[in-house]
Amino acid sequence: MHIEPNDGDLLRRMTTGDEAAFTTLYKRYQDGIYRFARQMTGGASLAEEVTQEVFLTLMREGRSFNASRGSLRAWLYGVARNCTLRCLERERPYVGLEAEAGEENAAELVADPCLPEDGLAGLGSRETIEQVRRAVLALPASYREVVVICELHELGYAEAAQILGCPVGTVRSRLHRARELLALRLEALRAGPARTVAAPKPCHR
Amino acid sequence: MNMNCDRFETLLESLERDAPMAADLRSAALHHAESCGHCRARLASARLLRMELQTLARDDKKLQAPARLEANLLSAFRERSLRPSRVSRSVSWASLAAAVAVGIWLLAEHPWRQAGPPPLVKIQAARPASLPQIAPVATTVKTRNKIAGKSSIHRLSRPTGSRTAASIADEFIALSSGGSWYPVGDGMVVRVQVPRSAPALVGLPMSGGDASGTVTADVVLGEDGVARAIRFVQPSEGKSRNQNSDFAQN
Repeated sequence: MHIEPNDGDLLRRMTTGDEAAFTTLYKRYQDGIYRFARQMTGGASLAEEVTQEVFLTLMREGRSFNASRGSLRAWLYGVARNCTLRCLERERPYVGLEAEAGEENAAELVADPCLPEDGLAGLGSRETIEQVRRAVLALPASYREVVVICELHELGYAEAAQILGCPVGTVRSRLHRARELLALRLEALRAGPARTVAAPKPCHR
Repeated sequence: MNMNCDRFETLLESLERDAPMAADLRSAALHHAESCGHCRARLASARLLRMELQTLARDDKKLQAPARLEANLLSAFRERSLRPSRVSRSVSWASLAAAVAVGIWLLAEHPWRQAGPPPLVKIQAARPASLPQIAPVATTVKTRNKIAGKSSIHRLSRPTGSRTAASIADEFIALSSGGSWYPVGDGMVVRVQVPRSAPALVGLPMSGGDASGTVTADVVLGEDGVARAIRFVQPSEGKSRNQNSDFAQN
């Protein structure tokens, strides 16, 4: 029976120059980190840059990882989050409104040759997926990150709190607000650009 | 059980996720949703959003970092592994690297290859806090100086009084190449023996003595292993004045 080595063992081996340990850690986390960066930025090149920086940081500062403060996955996501925010900040002068950036980035994702074509049969589904993607990308970064971490990566609130460096309650409230914004944007997208959607009002019955 | 829209709102997330909750509470919430159009719409909207996000998550599962990224990172890892770590850095390895670096520099900057004295730059390399007197020794330094092609040497006055070999060492002199200087970043200082001709190459006069001998020097090595700066260590008065005794101070 093959037992997968845990992160702590791999990290220890990696810091002593064990290339296989580094490769295992990379293979274990690269897809999540890359997807996180891609979903946050909407761009393949930025996602690649962030992923590279995350694993270079692991090489440089892997020793400083403290398991008592959280999982290695949370640590890597935290590094990815910081890199992503820096990239977004750096790219900001080159884009207009955030919503426009979302549109452009979503267009890049649609045009990505790596994504398979679903054909006519899946057109409706593809449209819906791209609408949701656009809506996520159009969220402010602080809401986008909780949606990506908790909804798209299905990480728990506690781990999300470690990644974001905030209390669990903050994660919950941000996610709640983010989902509201997302629902509104999606409603607006489905209704077409001309229609404005008012926030739902409770009936207080 | 009493249920209203505000209470329903607090339960919305659990309801749409089908999270475990008390049966009577769930029943009351769902009963409320049947009679309240707003809450019914909220629940339907939340469930739809969840499904859409799950579809997007599934669709994105196929996103992978390009293979070249792994190749690049592995290459960086190998390169990094070849360099000794700061903690377990071998003293003999560092000394060897310094000696090689200085040797290369001596060859490159030798007078017969250059009409005048080489351009010299004085840098503010951090003095190692505790440079042992027994050579060779490796000490890490971190400087962020970036000095572009200066051609004069400025010497700091040396403190007087009782001094150790380390304390009376000369200031670091940058070993510039092509008039350019690069920041040291993370580097280290190693103590090596260099040919007696080395001080003359950086413009320091030597008194007479055995021309084939050596003098003690501290060499600042950059992260890339290239010698960035050098200083020649004077022997203390109480110390045996062996090979360094003929190094004349300015």
